[in-house]
Amino acid sequence: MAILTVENLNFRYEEHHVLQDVSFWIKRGEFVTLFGPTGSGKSTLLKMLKREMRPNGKLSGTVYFNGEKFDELPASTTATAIGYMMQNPDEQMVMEKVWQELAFGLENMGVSTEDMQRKIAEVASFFGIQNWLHDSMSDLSGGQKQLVNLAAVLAMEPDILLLDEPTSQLDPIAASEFLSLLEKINRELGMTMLIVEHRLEELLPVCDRVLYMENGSLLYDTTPKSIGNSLLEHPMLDALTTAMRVYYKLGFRDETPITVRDGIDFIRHYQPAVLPTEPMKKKHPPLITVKNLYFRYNRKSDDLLADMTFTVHRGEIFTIVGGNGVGKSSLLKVLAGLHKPYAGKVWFDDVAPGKWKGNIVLLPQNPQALFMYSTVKEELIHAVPVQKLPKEQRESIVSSMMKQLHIEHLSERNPFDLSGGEQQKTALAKLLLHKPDILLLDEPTKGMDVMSKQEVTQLIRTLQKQHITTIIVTHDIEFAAEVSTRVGMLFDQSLIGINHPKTFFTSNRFYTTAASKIARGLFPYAITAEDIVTAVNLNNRRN
Amino acid sequence: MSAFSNFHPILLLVYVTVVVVTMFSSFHPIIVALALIGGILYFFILHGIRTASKDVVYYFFVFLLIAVAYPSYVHNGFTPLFFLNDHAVTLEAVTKGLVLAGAVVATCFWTKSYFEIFTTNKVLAVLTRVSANLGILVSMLWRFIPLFKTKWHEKQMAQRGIGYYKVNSRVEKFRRAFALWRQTLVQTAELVFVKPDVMKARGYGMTKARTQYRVMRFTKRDGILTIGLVLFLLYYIGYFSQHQTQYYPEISEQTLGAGHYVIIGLLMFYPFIYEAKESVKWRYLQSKI
Repeated sequence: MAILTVENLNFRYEEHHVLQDVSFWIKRGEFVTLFGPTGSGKSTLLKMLKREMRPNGKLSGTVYFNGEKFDELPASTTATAIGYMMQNPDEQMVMEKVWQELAFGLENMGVSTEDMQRKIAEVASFFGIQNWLHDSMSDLSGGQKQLVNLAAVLAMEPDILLLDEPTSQLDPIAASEFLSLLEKINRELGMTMLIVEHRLEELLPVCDRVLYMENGSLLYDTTPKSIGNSLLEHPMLDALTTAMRVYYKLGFRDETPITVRDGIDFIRHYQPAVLPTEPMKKKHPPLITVKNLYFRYNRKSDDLLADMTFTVHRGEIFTIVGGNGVGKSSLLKVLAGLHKPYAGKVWFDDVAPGKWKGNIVLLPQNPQALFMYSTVKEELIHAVPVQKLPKEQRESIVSSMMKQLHIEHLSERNPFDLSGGEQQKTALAKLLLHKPDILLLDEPTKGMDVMSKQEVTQLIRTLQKQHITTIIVTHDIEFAAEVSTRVGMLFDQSLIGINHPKTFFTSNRFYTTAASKIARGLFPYAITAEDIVTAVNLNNRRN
Repeated sequence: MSAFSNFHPILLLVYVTVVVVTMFSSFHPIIVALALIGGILYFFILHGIRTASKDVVYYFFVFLLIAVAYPSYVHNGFTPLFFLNDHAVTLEAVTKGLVLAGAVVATCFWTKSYFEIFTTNKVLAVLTRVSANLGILVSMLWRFIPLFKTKWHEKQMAQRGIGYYKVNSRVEKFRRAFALWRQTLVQTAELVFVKPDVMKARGYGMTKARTQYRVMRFTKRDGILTIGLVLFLLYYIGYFSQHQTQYYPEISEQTLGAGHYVIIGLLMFYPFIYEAKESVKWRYLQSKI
């Protein structure tokens, strides 16, 4: 039986059609993924299904929940039976302590103290959060906050869970832990779920159905195995898992592999081939020289970086990967001069940072920290190098920058209301207005859909042609494999294995891209889906 | 954690009110001394000898300052001790200065101890009794400061990372810091307070009969002690309103019976005695294991 039925839902905000004739239904116990390019109306659709969150606008169409008309349900049902989770954990949180947050919804429902204690004990044990029960919410990491938020929603025992990009503010490790937890909740408790997400590599193997939206319309409603057939000519094909992309790009249809394991099975039928490695380009002179660098936060803490030595050349795209808390962000801050190393030196063009004439800018992990104004346009006009210029010049510089990053349509929007990927792009635009020589990017692809990621990759390559050097810190190894000229891994206080990405990812067994895992032993140096396709074609030509 | 702090928050509030009101309504040297010593002893229990000693030294100077300053400005009283700039420093003023200094320092110690034991949970328990909404509001308010600190630090870093402060004029630097500060304040306030949708989405305001997860039970013992304390307070307020110690023009000898001092002393020392009893009990339990 359908737990949720949506019939001909239309939503208009001012003159803007956000949703057009959306119809679908969800069965009890189903795990449904809703995806689509940024701005396709996914989040709005989700909000329509939670009455308290509906934005202002003109709405038509009908929603049935458990067979009853949605608008006629009592407030108590909509509040408790439909669980809703937002992108930003800070926006969802209400109370100060973890236990207060868990109890908030139940207290509102008027649950008796004994029942409440049991429910909270249950849910805290299920999520393994009983040890933080008395901690302040503000002391938790982003991943922990989302876990508490999820537990608080589930404590109310909803019939369906709606999740709006719950991992977009999390690092990929916390994000994939969060998603596997959702899978567990679906599998073990039979919880019905509708999730809006960009991270399909983890979701497609576990979800039952896929909804695809574009420009406010629900275009496809199908299974993970067949969504690819509909997206063959579409750039969003690249949002699917690596195994699927390889399969479809090799011209196959119908029985697609989804996981890495399926991908290995599928690719095994091909003859081995070795991709030619690119010839080493002539190197520019070193731009950044780091010599015997030591850094720690204060006298009593341990060294975060120790005896670190490396050079980055002009025009390189140098990527640093590595686990959580190994000091990747701190390294960027040291390079930007925001933290001082206690021993060792950083040289730019062989001069000390104080004497260096160039410009270095840093994109922080949370791009919101850069925003100070209420529209994207104002934000860019007030960028320091621009604000002193005459008005016309200012306008033209800003609008050409917005065009370059494809954010013109956002110019009047509030930067804080944008999606994660749009915020990253706005922040990048602000950085580029500083005309940097060195661009330091801390997790630039956080919360981005695949199309935005490709845009950012293109942008960084364009900047490279203008001899701008980029240093990226990221957990997103697929992105690192795609964009870098060299990759290094930060581990145990130093940078290790610095190499060309093809060599770096091929020699790694665990910490590598899905494509490299699939191609392992068969196509050395293939580290992206495209590489595998090239390798396969190379072989065919030879035969 | 202190055993005394496990009493019901309402009882704790009544207790400290009784201590301070008794002290100030009597203004009797011995009673003030008892309150001061009781306060310091409990403070030692909470913080340990090392940490507490530093504070005691600091407050000793506060005590001296008040005790010296008072008689050098107030010259009432009959019995001059010596003359300072042609003004008599009287025995009465010196005595009152000492008592006043003692009362102020005693209040400081009790307040410091109470800041320690009166945790947010207790504040909430009391406020929620008054009004559930007030409790929620205060809990939200409590989120504000740490969140503001985090955001401010994060924004400072981010803006420095793009050269926001790279201007020559100091005034301009300050103006920019202020703009950032104001923006952080607004944004944090929005995150913390502007969430009617979110709260409604989780059922807030749905039913009038909001329940409580954590109920601090007001036990029979709490009740008896509270009634005892209130009776005590009424009796002595009644007594001291008739017989407050007079310092001018002459010190009026207010001699209470020794029994009264013992009772008041027991009251002032109660947290200390209770802690001591509990720790002896604990040690005794442990030695058996």
